[in-house]
Amino acid sequence: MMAGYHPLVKQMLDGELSLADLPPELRGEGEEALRLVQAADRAPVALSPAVEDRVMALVRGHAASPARRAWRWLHAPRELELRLRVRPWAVWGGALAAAAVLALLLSRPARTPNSETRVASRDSVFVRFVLYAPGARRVAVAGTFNQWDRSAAPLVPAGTSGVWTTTLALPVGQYQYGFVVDGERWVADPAAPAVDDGFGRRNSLVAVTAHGTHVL
Amino acid sequence: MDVNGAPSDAEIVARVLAGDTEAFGFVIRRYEAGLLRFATRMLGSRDAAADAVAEGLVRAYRHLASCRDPERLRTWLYRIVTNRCKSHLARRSVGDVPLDEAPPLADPSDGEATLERAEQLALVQRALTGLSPDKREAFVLKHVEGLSYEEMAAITGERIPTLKMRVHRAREALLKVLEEHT
Repeated sequence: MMAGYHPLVKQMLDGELSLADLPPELRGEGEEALRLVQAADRAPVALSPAVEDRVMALVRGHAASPARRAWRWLHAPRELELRLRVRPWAVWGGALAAAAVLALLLSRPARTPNSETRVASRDSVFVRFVLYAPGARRVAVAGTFNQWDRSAAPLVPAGTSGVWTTTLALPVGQYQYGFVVDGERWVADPAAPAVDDGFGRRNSLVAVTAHGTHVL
Repeated sequence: MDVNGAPSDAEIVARVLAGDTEAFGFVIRRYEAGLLRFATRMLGSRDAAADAVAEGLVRAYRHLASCRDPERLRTWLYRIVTNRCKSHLARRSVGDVPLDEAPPLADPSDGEATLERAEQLALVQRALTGLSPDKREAFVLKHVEGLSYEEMAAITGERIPTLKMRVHRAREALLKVLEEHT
């Protein structure tokens, strides 16, 4: 009984070497090892039509639930067509009123923005993301607000302190996110609560309201 | 779209998230065969595998917004189904793996090579069910599903050296079983 495969044969089985790369004295062992792994049954199993039916029935039921429909109605963007019939004097009057309101708003003293969040518009808020990642070559933040796009929101280093920051304008809502360090390593935000994504990893959470961000 | 005109995984995910529930059928049809084969080798039972895959796919649909990298949907789905298989195995007593999915017996009228192959398949399948779930998972992902160690690490959450060690040990255990029968 052999004690185990030669390290070079193991490398071949791991796909790091080919049989031809083995020295001649190991070819026999290599061929035998390949026969072993080829003995594993790779034949497709018979598909059960019930699986697709079961899954789609549950998926349709989930999608049709009232809460889900309400969320989609609130969340999905939609096109609006607005038709107006106006008289010319109303256009000029409206424009003057708008100009007056704008002048009034601009004449008010500017509010000092909060270092973490400030209101960007009626429905979105500036949110500052900060990560201490000394030694990182690049850092980005990805989440449900940018469809987990790793390149959409890069952070910039604050000097040489190892602190990376960026500020994003996010619509009001709740989001899951994570930092991506050097393009591949996911890091949860140590300053935010996190939730299991259902598969053993942690997604950070932020709730954006018209008054700023809130810890969930 | 790929060269055959089929939507990419990322396009399907975007459609489902936008409310096109039926687009999830693409996901099922694209990955069901591989997931079922993997789950069947893990659980040793086609019925249990169908349950694990169905549960995993429903879970994937409900958590689709959490999928960080829709281009690597396959890896993500294997991760979910792997976890479902582990849950099924945890509910069973140790080593209690049914063999209702053993490869079919060869017809005696088949040639000698076919008979030998069928016997070897049955032996390896039986030996697989005798491995610990971790080693079985590593062996099946590597040598049945043909995944890279990087993909396996993403699926299992384990480090690559740990996975290599499990695969090596699984192979040696299978070798031992085969040698005992030759």
